[in-house]
Amino acid sequence: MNSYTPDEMMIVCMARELQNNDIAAQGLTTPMALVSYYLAKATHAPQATIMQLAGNIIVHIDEPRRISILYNEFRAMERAVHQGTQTEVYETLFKRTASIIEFFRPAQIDKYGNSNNSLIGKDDTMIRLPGGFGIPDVSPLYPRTVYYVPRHERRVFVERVDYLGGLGVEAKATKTRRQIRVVTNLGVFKIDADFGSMRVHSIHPGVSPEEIKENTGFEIPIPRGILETTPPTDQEIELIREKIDPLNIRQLEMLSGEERTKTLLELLEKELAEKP
Amino acid sequence: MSRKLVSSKEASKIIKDGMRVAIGGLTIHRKPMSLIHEVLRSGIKGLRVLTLGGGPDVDLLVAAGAVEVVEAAYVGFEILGFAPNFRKAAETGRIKFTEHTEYSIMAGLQATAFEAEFIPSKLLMGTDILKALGYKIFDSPITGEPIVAYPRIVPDVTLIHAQRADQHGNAQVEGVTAIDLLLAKASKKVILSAERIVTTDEIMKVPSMTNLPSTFVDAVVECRYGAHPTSCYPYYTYDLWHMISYLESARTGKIDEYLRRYITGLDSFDSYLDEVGEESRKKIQMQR
Repeated sequence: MNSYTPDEMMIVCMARELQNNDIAAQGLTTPMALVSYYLAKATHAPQATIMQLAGNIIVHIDEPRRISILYNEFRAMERAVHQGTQTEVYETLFKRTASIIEFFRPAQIDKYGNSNNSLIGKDDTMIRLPGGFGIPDVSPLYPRTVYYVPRHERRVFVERVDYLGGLGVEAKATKTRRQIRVVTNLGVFKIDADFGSMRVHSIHPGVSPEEIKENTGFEIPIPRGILETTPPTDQEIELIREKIDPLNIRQLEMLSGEERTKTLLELLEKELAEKP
Repeated sequence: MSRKLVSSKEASKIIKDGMRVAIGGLTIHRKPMSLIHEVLRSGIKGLRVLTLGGGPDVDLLVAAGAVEVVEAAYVGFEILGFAPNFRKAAETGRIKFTEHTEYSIMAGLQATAFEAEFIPSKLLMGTDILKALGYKIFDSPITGEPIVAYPRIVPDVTLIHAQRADQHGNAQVEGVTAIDLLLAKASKKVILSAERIVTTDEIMKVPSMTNLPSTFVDAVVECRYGAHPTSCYPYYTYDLWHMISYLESARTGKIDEYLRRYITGLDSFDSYLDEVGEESRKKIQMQR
């Protein structure tokens, strides 16, 4: 058995959410999502369609491709079968709602599956976040909504979001039976209308139930004998490290602040040396 | 088809204080930066800026005090994080931020472009974002159920940077196309800058590539590296190094220095490119 990192465990869990024949849409700033799409394509979902760069470039990926920061748009255009507009992206999401898979990264998510990328706190202490972009529009429409949280912390998993963006399972507006999944560095979680609030689907190997309880800002039931997440296979790890992301761009999503900038600059130099 | 090719200075005269100015591109992709610089140098104030996803465009306009309202679904530097000047101004109330989503912007523009008073839709019902937008909810005459009226959005001017255009404004937009074509249709005026001005014969070779025809365009400006430091596929990728140093100057309280050195203290976008330097341009260049 290979050793693997928390981001690799997450990417494999995310890839498993993608089914053959799905349409995978990529949002903004999400290298982990793209690695997981490419991984799923190379393993169990070869028929999946991928829409990159906020979705307007539909690519044909016939073998594992490398992700990039610096040449992201260029690599997508090299493999493009179609270049549409953002209006058309939405037309696709509306027409193919049941087949769309899109990995969202929330700043906050609550026990009911509501998400928030707008603002935290209020008045003098309010923090303005970049914004939810398309998450509030489409997340309640999808039968399957997948969020991912690289750092499972209390400030992300809150009792109630400070601001309602993407609606969770309580919402009346949603008619379809919905299943929300949340993939984190500690485990995989699920939220559906039947149970009403977040519970554990599986715990990653080496993570204790206490660790999850400590880092979650609300009561989360963890029954005894809960499922352990199936670790990545040797083939999955090899695909991620050697074919899809040999420079380790995915780690950026696990970092913050100066450490991220420093790592980013190092990655950029490496990419520059490989300029096509 | 009339000739619309003018200097960026001439084109920017269309923009007046207090106008609702829409900006094409997306975050760090194909932003009309040379036109933004022109706005900053002209000292235009009180703008109401609308864009799908803002990046250095919005952040610079806010930093220079040219903006009163920002309307967007996202403002940030993608992998580089927050837009610092925008964030500070929104948090302190120096600007008003109207948070949209992709849908609320597109619906409003679609209404305008298709001569509708509003677009009725159930999207965003129950969210705080819709509440803050203050859009009316009414009973649908078809189903009797509550539904949101997404009112028209009508920009006074839209700024777009295209890859190629002829002197009439028949333009080809490539890569991340965002909502530029929709903005052009809904906007009263459109100023287009193009990386390359080509002959109409060249445009006629593949007419299906002309996704933004001259009928929607009012002024055309030629500008190499006109999207710098954002990307312009297939010519150059984004200058993340420049944006990192920009963010650093914002963090260390040196944004006024940045503005003087790169924009307001200079006479043209060409001088800005000189200041950025040939070495930096070579780094990001992908195709001549």
